[in-house]
Amino acid sequence: MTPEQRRRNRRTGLILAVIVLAIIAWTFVRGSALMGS
Amino acid sequence: MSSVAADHIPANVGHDDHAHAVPHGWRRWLFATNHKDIGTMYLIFSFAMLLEGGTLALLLRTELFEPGLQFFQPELFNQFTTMHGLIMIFGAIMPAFVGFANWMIPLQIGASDMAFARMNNFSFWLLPVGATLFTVSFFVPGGATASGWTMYAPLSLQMGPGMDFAIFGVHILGASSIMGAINIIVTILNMRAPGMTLMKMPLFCWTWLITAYLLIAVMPVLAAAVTMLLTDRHFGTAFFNAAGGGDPVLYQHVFWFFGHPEVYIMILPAFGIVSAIVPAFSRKNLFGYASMVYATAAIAILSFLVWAHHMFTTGMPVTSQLYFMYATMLISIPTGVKIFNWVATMWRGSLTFETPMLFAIGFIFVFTIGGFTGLIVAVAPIDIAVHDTYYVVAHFHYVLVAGSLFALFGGAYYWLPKWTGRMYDERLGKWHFWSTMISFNVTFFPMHFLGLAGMPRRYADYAAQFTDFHQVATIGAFWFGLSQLLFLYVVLKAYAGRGEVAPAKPWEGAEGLEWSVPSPAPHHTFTTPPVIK
Repeated sequence: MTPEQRRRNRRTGLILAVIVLAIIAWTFVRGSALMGS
Repeated sequence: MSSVAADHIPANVGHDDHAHAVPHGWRRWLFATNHKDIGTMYLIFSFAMLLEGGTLALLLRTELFEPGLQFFQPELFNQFTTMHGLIMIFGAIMPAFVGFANWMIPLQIGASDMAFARMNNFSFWLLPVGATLFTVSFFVPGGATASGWTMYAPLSLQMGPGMDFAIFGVHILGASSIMGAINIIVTILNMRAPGMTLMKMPLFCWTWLITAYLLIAVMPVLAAAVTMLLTDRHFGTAFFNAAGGGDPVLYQHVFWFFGHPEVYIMILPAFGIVSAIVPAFSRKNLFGYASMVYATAAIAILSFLVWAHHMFTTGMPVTSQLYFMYATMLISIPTGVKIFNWVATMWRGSLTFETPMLFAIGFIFVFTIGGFTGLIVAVAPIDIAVHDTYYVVAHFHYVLVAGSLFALFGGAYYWLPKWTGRMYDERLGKWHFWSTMISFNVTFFPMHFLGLAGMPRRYADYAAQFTDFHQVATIGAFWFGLSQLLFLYVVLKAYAGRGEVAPAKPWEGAEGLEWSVPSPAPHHTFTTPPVIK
């Protein structure tokens, strides 16, 4: 694996990890909002 | 699949083991970073879980052989039911497909390994931890959770500490799945060999790429849902607790937003395996490769839009019922495209019926039955009648056992020569197929009639009128379970080096880069990427 490929992998992996965290947060936020309705 | 030919397979491919020593002993497995070793561990783990989940199923079937309570109290029966579902889904089927992905994706796209080798190791070693939490929960006060694999509130809010074990177990197995999915996406997007465009990839890689996106999208939702359950149970929140202003139906919405795509997470890679096997034994290219890719993507997108068809009995407005009913029926179109393409691939092909092909054809036959019963339960008025009956149990076992498990068996026989370097025992393989196929139908076909007659699921006892069908199902279940020991024997025999030596490409009609490396595949492959024409 070239260093460039390694960098690209890390960047793609981080983007996906951020998406995962955002979906967890979104579910909590929606859950809280619906709880009060 | 579009046909792929390696323009130049470097001389060192498959013969470069001297460059990186193969680790030996327990370190090889505990610290494994090699995709093949990790794939093997995934497959062994998932088979062990299949046996554990299967044993629980046989305990259930033993109790159900006769009406009345013979062996287990209803509380324990419901614990078995719950853990059977959780173990089979999160411990057996999902890890088995990740095992296939680990083994085959780098080989099929010409990559030297998975993108994140250490994370791959961590993903695997989380599995035994999660499985241990599930298993030991039987021994905590009150026993394992008995809320069903769906863990519906408010029941799950009232369970004992076994519920917390299940929640942590789901968290850990979910984290493992998410890491596995990230690894697969990055590997496929960034590590394909030069010339291996996305539309040249074997369909197994495509189905896994789409499955991995599904996992990324819905596993966090499940993680959040069970975390909310946990905070409701222990930290005074009331997301799903009506007494505190929460809404138990909200849990069902959140759960099924995960749960329905989860069904496709367990079936799309199976489609990929069948799409590899059918052309190989038909000696033709896959019919409609591009339409297979688009159909897979369409199924994945639609899977986000149909979750509430699991909730028709919660009292939703008729307009919502109509929407979810029609949206669910739409899924049959891309699924039908796939079935059509597999049949069209076989049409006028030069067919032979080795064990992988038998499992692939068996898959098409019985999965289609599961698909049809899925259409039937998609119809809201019918679903309301058969909801939570054995009809639904029959339906999803036709999809998940005859679908996922048959494809896994077919794939295991197909790639076993590549994994072990030996041909499996074809005669025993065929015995395994026929025994599995017949016993599967003996077990689950009568359940349609039980459900239509009103037998509810998750009940330890039943009215005497249901006895005959239950007895047939129990006999079939034991037959099915014992048949799997035959599979274990066939695989162990090949691993033990008994059997004909396998050539690099044991199947005449097989295509793809995995067949360009020797059998068994060397520890390191494609350290220099091949160039694809």
